[in-house]
This record gives sequence, structure tokens and C-alpha cells, in this order.
Amino acid sequence: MKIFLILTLLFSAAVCNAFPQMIRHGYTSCNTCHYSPRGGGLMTDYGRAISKELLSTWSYEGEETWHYGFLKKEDMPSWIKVGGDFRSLQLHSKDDVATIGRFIRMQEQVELGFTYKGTTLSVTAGSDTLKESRPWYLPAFYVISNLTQELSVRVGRFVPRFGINTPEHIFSTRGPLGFGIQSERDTVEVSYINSGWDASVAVSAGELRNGSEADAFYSQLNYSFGTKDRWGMSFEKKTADDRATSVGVHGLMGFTEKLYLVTDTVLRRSETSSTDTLSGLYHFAQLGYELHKGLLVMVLEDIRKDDLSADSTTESMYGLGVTFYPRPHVELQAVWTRRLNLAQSTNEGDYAWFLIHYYL
Amino acid sequence: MKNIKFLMPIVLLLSSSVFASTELSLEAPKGKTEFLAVGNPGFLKIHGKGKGPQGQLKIDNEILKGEIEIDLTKLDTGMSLRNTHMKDKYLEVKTYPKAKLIIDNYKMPTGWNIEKPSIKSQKMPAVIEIHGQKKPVEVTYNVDSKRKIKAEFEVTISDFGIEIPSFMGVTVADKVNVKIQSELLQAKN
Repeated sequence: MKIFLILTLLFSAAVCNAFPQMIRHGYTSCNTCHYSPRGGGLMTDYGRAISKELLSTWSYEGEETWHYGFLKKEDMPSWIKVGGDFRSLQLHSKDDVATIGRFIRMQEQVELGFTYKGTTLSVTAGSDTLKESRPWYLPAFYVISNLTQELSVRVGRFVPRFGINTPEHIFSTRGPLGFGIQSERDTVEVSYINSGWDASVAVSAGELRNGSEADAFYSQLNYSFGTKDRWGMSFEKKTADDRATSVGVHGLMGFTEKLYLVTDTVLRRSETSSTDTLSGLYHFAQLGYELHKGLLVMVLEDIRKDDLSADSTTESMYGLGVTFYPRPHVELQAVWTRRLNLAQSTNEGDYAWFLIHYYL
Repeated sequence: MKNIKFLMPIVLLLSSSVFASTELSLEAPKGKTEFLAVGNPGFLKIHGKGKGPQGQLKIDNEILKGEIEIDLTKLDTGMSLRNTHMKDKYLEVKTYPKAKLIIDNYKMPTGWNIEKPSIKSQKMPAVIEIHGQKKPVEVTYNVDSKRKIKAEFEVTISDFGIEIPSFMGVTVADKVNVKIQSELLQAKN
């Protein structure tokens, strides 16, 4: 039971399904393809077109729409948007401590959006994957209003912008820093997106679904030197019970239309008591190459050290992976890594998964 | 008579440099054309690529004239559906397959000749013809010692009777930056 909960926590996805590797096609900003400036979730019509044109190996006309082209354009009001994510994963883990093979239903969510003159209301309903009964609830909802072409305000319950929103939320800079499973929080976020740079500030309050306090301030600044890169810094100041300050640098780089690099490194200083602090380092990097349209190979590394003064807090993971987008709506991923968790063992173990992701 | 003999080499030298006529050509395979347009929302950078410019230029008494053409049918933005929209709906390449850059009576920098071709960041007035309509543009250009030319100018889409492109909710900004690269070749007589 304990192992099940740990695995579920590790692999249950929040609304994380952005594709930062699209930087290699010049997509430096998430909100060309997604309504959320953070990326992920409900797709714009353009994002759907991209999923057919650039992301997937095969497709037919209209397949990229949520109704697979069965409805005519004029039959469907353009102000209604439909999305959703369903992810399942077969995990294999083998180390000194245990050998585990398990199938996990990570994510079951549908999202409805209503747009009117630059304002979008989005509501996500999904199952609580941390509970065995898997009750459905509303993990995220927000209203985003584009006040000008550059300036938008988003209010609701969602995950604020911090670092890179990779779908692999088990990576150090996502889940361990509080941006993974069920990390939606009551947030107000203001984003300014310009041709060469973008910035956002946000404040959150209330509680996460697990009951922990969410009071914090966030900011992010990104800059593109060319047409296929984005470099930025993120800042988080948690003012809740678990006080912490995090500063991160991240980069997306499309070297060519096939070769890309995604990297994110965060330094966090946590206040463990009124006098003591703990500094930790969190880093991931992914170097990928598109072999054929829709078929990508990648090498990845992930390093986490919760206490820089204690080697025993080190966890690392490095390995190889393949991602395949055969048709719009479908993502398949196979990753094999060598994983080290010094708190458990000084020996590396195998850690691999096969993911099936269906996005509506 | 003695004085005339003395002056002859000077006259010949002058006539070969100051009053020289140089015919130049640009060939498509020797260069490339690029454009950068910005789409919104998200300030999407649409990077288009195409064949190099092709045409003939003539310099008479330091005055440059000529026309170069850019093949619009070969432009590629990296997305086939977007290419189709751009070419068929907006540029209408079946009717207007080429853009033309027309240079008329541009005075070359003093002392320039094909043997010493380097020019750094000069501005040249020209006329660009797109979609059957002509508009003046200011071209910023460089030529290096190997006769490689880099030129850049900005066009306003709506000036050419082209509707502001919009594709699946992404609308392209009116201003588009165009860059061309090529090599100055001495035309064969």
C-alpha cells in the first residue's frame, strides 16, 4: 500500500502536458498553442493544427480536433473548447531495495473552455489519483483575460509559472519543488509577453489539495536571443509554514529543427527553523533529436540534492528515452534510466517506464 | 606631343576606373531568402526560408541599376498547411509568383569596384514589387571581400493589397522583416 502511494505520487500527473521541445520549431511561448501562459492543458486551434502538422507522424484532415473531424466547423460554436488528458504508465524499478513492476493510471481529466473576445474560462474535472476510490473533483479552473496583445491576467486555481513546465513532473524541478501532482493553488497571475521577452508575477494563497499552505509569491523572466531559444529565471518566495526561497535558471534551445535542449536548475533555501536553513539543488536536462516526424530520441539527466551539505540526500537519474507521436491525440514514451538514491543505497538501480498518453 | 604621351596612361587609368561599366548577376543557388514575421498570440516567430535572389545589375559610372527577383513559390515556413495558406490565400503565387526588387540610379559608395567589393552597412533606396504592387523600401546591405552580399529590409503587408494573414487564430503582424543573401557574380559578356 505504501509503495503504491509513493508510486502514485511519483507518477500521477497534474495538468502537465506542454511540449517544450517545440522550441526547435520556433515556439518560444506556450500560449500560441495553449490558453495557459504556462503551457499545457486546453489547446488553441493553432495548437491543434500544430499537433497534426508538426508533432504527429500520420494524420488525416480534421483528426487533430477533439471530435476527430466528425463535426463540421460550422456545427460547433467556435467559443467552446474541449480538451483532456488520460495517461497510464507501466513502471519497472529494480534496485537493492525492491523490484517493482506496476501499471499506474496516472491522469484522467477533461477540460472545458469558453472563450469570448480575448477572455477564456477554463474548468478542469479529473479523478483524484491519490485516492483508491478515485473520486472526481475540479483540480483547476481559471479565467484568463488578455487586456492587450501583450498583457494578460489570470485568476483561479492553477499552477503558477515557475521554471519549465515539462510533462515529466517526477523530475526534480517539478514534483519535489511542489509543482507536480495536485499542485494547483488559488492564484492571481499577471503575464506580459512580448516579441523578445516575457515576464510574469503571481501570488498564491489558500491550500493545496493535500492541505499544505500555498501562500507564496512567484516571478519569471524569459528572454529569446534568436528565434529558437528562450532563457529565463524563476523566483519563488514561500511565506507559508514551510518557508523557502527558490531561484532557478532555465533554457530551451532549438539548435536545429531536429535537435533541442531543455534544461532547468533551481537552488532552494528552506527555513527549517527560525535559525536554521537548508540549501538544496534541483536540476534536469534533456537533449533530444527528432529522427523522423513524430519520433524523438533523448538523453536525460536529473539531479536532486535536498541538502547541499549532506551527500546522503543525493538522488540522480540519467538515461535514454524514445517518444513517439504516431497520430494526433496519442503520445507513447519509453524511458530507461539508471537511478541512484543515496538515502537508500550506494548502488544504482534500473528505473524505466512506458507511458501512454491520450490527449483529447 | 611629349605632354600628350605623358597624359595618355593617366587618361586610360581614369577611364578604366571612374567610367567603367560593370555587369553583375545574382544566381538563386548562390544565396537564400529569409523572412521573419511575428504571429499573435504568443509572439510566435514565423521564420520563412526560400531560394536566393536572381537577377542582373549594372553599374555605369558608379550608378547602379537593375532588378532582382525572389521566387515566392519556394518559400517554406516549416509547416505545410501554413505554407499553403501563405502562398495561395495571401501571396497568391499562382498570379504573382515572384517578388521584384528594383534598383534605379543608386550611387555606389565612392571608389567601389568589383575587385575591392567590401561595403559596410550602407542604405539603398529601392522599390519592391509584391502581389503586383510596388512600394519603396530602404535596403540595408553589406558586401564582404568575397563579394558575398547580405541585405535586409522591412515590408508592410497591408501596403501590397494583401489581407493581414490569420491562421487558426494566430494573426501575423503587419511588418515583416526580409533578409537576402547572395554573391555578386561578374556577368559573362
